[in-house]
Amino acid sequence: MADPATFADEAMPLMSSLYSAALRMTRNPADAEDLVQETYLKAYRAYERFEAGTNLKAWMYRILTNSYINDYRKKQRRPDESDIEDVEDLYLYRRIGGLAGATLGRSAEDELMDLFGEAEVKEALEELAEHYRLPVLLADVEGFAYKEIAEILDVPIGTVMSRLHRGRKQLQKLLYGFAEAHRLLPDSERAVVGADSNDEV
Amino acid sequence: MTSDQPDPCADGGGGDCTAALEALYIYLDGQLTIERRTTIKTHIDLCSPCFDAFSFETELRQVVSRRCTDEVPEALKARIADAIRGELGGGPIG
Repeated sequence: MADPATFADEAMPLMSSLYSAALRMTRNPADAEDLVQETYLKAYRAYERFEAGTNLKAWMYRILTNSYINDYRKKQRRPDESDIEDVEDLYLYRRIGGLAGATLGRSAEDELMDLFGEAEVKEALEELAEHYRLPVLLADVEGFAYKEIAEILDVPIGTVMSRLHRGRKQLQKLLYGFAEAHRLLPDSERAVVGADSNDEV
Repeated sequence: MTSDQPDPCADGGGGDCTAALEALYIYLDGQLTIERRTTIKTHIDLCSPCFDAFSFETELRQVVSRRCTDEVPEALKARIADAIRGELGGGPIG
């Protein structure tokens, strides 16, 4: 049992990660703020039932996710684009793998950071259908383990794994689309897919 | 430089590349058994196409995570701190 007096010290440092997750879920700053506030109040009220020594972050994410699913998702009503076509494995690597690290003295990570700015990555993640977006967010941004994600989302571990797999590939495809649309790729890389974009140069 | 990466699945190693790539995400997620992990690590250390693909996925994930941070508005921090104080005092919540 956790002591309510310790709540603020323990829970406040988690706010920036919860707020980011809330933004990716609601895609709207006003809703994200309300969702985070609601999460903190619910957590505070239930804190005595939180088992001290277990993972507070996972517990708070469970409250956040449940609140989002119960109270916000209905409001937003975006048709859940059901399974879109399957994306091949290593989608991005096969297209831009040679680009990353191609410049002498720069790390592949630097190249990728240049290619995908904050706006592109956030937009791509927010574009994902929700049943892919939440697992990808929890795993790749927040670093939760499969078991924790399964508990947060209340789905079996196998479901978490298959959604992660498909969601990550879908994310890569979206990222590639943004890089392409924003003309971030050198000509040689762009030509491959440029055929279907209406260039207005 | 062309856009055609060598296909890591061009497998000369009796299915080792295919097995490694199938386990790629689970490996990066740190959720393989120690045995499986060791087998795959041994393979990618020796197989440069697989090594490159694994490195790329690792770096991409770091970029995604680093790009997804947002500053919490000060007003929200204050609102939540107030609301919790309100609960403490048993008073009405803002």
